[in-house]
Amino acid sequence: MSPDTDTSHTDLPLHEGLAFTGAITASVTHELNNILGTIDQIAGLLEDLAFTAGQGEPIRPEMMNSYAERINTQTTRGMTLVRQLNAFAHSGDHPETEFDLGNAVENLTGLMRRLAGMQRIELAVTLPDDPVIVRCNPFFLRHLLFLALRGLLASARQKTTLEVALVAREERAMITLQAVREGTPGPIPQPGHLAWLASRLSGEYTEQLDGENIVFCFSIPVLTR
Amino acid sequence: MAELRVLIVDDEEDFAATLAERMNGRGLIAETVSSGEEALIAVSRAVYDAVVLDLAMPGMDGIETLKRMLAIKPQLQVILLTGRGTIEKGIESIRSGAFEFLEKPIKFDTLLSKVNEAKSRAMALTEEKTKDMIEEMLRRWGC
Repeated sequence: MSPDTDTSHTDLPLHEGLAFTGAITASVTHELNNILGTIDQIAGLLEDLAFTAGQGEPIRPEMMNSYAERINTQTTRGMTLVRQLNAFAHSGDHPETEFDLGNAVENLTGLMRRLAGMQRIELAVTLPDDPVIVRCNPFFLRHLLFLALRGLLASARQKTTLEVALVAREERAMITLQAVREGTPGPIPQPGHLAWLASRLSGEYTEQLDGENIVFCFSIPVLTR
Repeated sequence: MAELRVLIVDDEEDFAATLAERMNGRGLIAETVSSGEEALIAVSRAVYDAVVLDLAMPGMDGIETLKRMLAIKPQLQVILLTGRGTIEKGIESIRSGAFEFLEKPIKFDTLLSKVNEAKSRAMALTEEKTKDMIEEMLRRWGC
């Protein structure tokens, strides 16, 4: 076994972390490209309007408001994505730190909405009102959730909702992912490093079929509530 | 000169609507749909001089939509829009029968010029087809 594929050692193979980071940034930059493309066309529309105004055509204020609203919608969408990508980038700052699990779940699911949407699956996220503080590697936590979500998305039926819920109970927090499965039940494909990540996070996970649903549960020790 | 009819297929609805508005402002007749399925219904019901089709769409993607549209209307001129990093898909689209592919973000004037080229190509193909039909009829009648 080459060092690059051996997951028995202390470090995750470099290409796995890069592939995860790459998948997230590719999706986000694709969406940012769409946002900028839309703003670019609205700018063109304003240029066209300025041209016709120069020829004596009156400018209608409601049209200007409509364009301003469209630009506003796109910039808000873009700023949300940039904020999420920035939080994701900083998740690799420390190998172990205390953080709010709810923020991490919200961050990762926010970044994966487009990937889910491409498969016509909506992500519904339920988080507790209070912070759920854990101490572990924030990047590994996101990576584990990414692998679990990607696996479920690959098996889920189109035009359904994938439910993500975080619940804190006594000394542990539980993240549950539930999707409606497409086709006949069979073995759930699991990447080998899912177990590796769970162990590094001092967590445990199960994946099971419940009727036509696939349910992934990950539990992790909580510091305080 | 006859009006140029364009169908814009993109799940980015604001983008499609703005592009259509700009085209309409330049005297074209542009319509929008937001999925491959809707595009198939549109092309089977109406005649378009060009279709501007996004590659990355939820559900039926651009390549699949392109193939199915060409199965309905083989002479349809389709301009595929690709995001960065999907140039290979753009090449695949040409192999699958697209007239052209452009990388997003697109320059409006470039797109307009491609739409005009698509119309000219469609007209040339129609003329060629009509000529072939007339020659075949004349052959059958022994002229």
